[in-house]
Amino acid sequence: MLTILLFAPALGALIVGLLPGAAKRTIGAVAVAALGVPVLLLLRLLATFHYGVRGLQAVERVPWIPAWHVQYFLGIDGLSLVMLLLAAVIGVIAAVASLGIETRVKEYFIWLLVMQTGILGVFCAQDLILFIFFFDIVLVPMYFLIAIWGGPRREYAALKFLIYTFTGSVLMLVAFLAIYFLTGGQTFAIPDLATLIPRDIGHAGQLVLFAVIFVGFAIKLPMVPLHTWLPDAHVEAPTPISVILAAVLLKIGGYGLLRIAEPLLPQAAHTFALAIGVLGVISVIYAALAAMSQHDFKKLVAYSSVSHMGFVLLGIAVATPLSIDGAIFVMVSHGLISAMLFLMVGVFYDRTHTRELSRLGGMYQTLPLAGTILAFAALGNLGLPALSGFVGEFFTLAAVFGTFRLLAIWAVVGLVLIAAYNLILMQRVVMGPLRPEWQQLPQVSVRELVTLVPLMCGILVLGVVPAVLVNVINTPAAQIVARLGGG
Amino acid sequence: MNFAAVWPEIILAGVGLLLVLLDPFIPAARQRALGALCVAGMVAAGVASWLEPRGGGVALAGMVVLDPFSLFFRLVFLVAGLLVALFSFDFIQERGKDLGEFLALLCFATTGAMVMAISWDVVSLYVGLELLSISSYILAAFLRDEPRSHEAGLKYLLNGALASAVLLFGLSLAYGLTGTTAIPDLSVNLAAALSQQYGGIVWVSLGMILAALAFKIAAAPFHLWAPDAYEGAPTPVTGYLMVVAETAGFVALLRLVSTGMGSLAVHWSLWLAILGVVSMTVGNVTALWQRNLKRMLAYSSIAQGGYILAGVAVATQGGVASTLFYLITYLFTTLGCFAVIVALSVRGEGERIVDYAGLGQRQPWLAGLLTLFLASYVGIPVTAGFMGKLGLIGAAVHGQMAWVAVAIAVNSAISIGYYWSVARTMWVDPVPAGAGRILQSPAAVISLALSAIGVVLLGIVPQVFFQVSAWASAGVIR
Repeated sequence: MLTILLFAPALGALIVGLLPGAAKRTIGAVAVAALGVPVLLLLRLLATFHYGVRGLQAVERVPWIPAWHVQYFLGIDGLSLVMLLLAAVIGVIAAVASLGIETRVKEYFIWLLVMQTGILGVFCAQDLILFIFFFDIVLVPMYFLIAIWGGPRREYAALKFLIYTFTGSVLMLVAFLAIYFLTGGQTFAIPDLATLIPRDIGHAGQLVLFAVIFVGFAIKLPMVPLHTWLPDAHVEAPTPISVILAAVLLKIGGYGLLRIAEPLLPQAAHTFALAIGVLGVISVIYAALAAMSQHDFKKLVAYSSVSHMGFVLLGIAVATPLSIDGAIFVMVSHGLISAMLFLMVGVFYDRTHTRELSRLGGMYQTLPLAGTILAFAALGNLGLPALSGFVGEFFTLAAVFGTFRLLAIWAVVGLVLIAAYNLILMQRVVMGPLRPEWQQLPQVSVRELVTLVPLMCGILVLGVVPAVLVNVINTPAAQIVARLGGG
Repeated sequence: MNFAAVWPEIILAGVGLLLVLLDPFIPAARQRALGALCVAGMVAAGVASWLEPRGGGVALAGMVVLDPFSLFFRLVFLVAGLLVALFSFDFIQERGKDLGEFLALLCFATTGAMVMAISWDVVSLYVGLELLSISSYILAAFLRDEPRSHEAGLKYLLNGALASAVLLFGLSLAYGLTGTTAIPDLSVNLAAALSQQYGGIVWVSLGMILAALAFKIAAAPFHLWAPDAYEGAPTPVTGYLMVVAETAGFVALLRLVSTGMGSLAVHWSLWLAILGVVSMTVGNVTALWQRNLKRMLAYSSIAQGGYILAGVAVATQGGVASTLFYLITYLFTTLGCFAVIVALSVRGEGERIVDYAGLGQRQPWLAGLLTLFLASYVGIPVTAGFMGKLGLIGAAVHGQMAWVAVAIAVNSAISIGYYWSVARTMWVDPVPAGAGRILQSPAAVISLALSAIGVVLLGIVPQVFFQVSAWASAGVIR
């Protein structure tokens, strides 16, 4: 089941490869269909999933490289399920948003489909080497998607992304191999290592390994001060790729911390908790301030991502069931909201060909629908109750307040800043006087609505009935906390 | 004397001689027939290697040994020779050169490398090395009317001869101390010699041997000849030297140092590790500034040699197994790259990186495969390079050399900078005006396809190759 889910996009890439490059519509249709298969399979999984059961489900486990005890080991728990669903849905939305691509369509969709296989693989691999395998597969397609179809500084941005992330991944590979040999060279399977590591690796060793793995995922997340690749990559990438970057790829960082770093090295996680929390708060505040001072619409949204990922770090640092719930909730909610924001950047840019906030303004008057949708997204981003952004941040803050009171206060300061830049954004784009050159702009198209409406529904549902998501992630969150010693 | 043990070498050398004999009688238009003969000879030598015993028996008065290691490297050299032969037909004929002569030299050089693979004595190893080297000097200068090729041949000759002399000096010192030239006895006797009156000479001998072999594998700081020689040599020969000459250097290192001086491992281990880390760093950082693809790959091969040295340095069986595995991944990756470069060079382009502008749109297959090979050099999954790095980093971590593992990791990240500049040129830069279509003969296509299959197989189902490497490395560390 998971194998089919994983390789459906890759198979789609193969089919696209066989199609003639001129058949743009067919290529787009095949790509959307191939990306839709995982969504359908996940919906089926949702129906049969046992939500209260700890541990992995839908497991597939066969030896892959016995010489190194590497297994082809797939399996999902609630956390994986949620991330897979997010990745699969965003994949389809990005593909639909990509239908407007004009140049080198065939190559574009091949890379997009290959990347999706890598992304889905990351979220269900339960073997460290298999995880790195999928983690690295994502990099090359992403490089080309930015470098070929991106903005003016695309080559620089793409290379920076590639080098940063690959550095993180090879360092993690060293750490994973160290874990393997220190535990007697028996297995890379994450559930098995969770029991072996406390037995075989001393506290000092755990601290070093945790630090290395943490840096690897902190680059991906990204965390200030390792975030500098992100504004470049997000700004230069074409709209659908920015959507995937922000909504899904960043989540790999948070997911990796929750799946690998925390459960495998719980003592070190405990030791570093305060440091991680401080780094999280620094990310929140620094990135929010940075977002406030941006003149570029897209760059503002990019920094906003960094800022929200700080909450994920905070939630992970505190490590109570509530805070882990909060961290996962923030990841999902930010996945939906940032996707919307980037799509909206695209909507305005396609019409005005500028992202300069000072050149926009008064968009309510020409594009009332687009203006409303942007307001919706910005309010969600700001954490307005009844939208999904509020819930995750509330959970996290509530949990942080119980443990690190001072950090919670600073995080609230961060929240104020987040509110500030979102309001500034709304004010500068949709309010104010309309500039004469934007008198006549085409309205939001059906294709754009098809990508936006599902996200809006998701944001609203999660905001009003958070239990939908919380019920799925409660069990894995409790399991992670149990590994960490009961919080 | 029982010559049955060296049938594969006899066959290949015989084919080489036959090529020289037949060459004058075959008209230029029919020279491809000689190519077929060469390929058949290599395949026959491969079959003969397979049929040889592999239990570790010693033959020819202790000169050669037939163990898994011998079989492994005989086949490695034959595969490399075969792939190079296949993609060089077009290149040599297009330049109006004598294909028979070229292929004969290729056979002789490969025979020399195979003799090194099976040697169990310092003397036979040295003879093999010289046969390989002398044939290679001529191959490097094969385009007689191109000054660059001349220069490459001369540089290679002078430096190679110096290295050979230093090696011989070191080996004769070792002989003087131990009274033996048999590799398995060296180790024991050297350990004994260390505690005696002239023990200090052991260090001189070890130092000379290490320096000479570092020359041969172009490890920094003994690498200065390599970029010029590799850049100037005819392109197919560059590929051959990067793979066969370098692998042969590692065979010598594994036989002479890992086995022959195994008792001194605590002393040379750290030196090799330092040599490896310096090589990978110097190679990668210098490669970042290159505009000529061949020169860039020359620095890349210095860096790759540095990675491989790390596997030798840890001096464990796992380390040797990882070394062997990486050498196969390096073989397919490098020869795949060169199959593409040669395809472009047939018409005189392909040396400068800018020649690859827009190749992704002109010929997606060629560009796609070159991207695959570059990804394999970096160590990105689905390619052989990822598994190779997994093995080497694992060996370094296991061998208590975590700093070497970190160095490999950091260097892999640095290397993206230049490997990817080629990929970027191919896929991002626009197609230049007047770019023609590159045609390849079936032989060259087969060579390219075999390399690509090798890279992908090693990257997806590496188990068999890991097993074979472990099997072949069993007797190296004693």
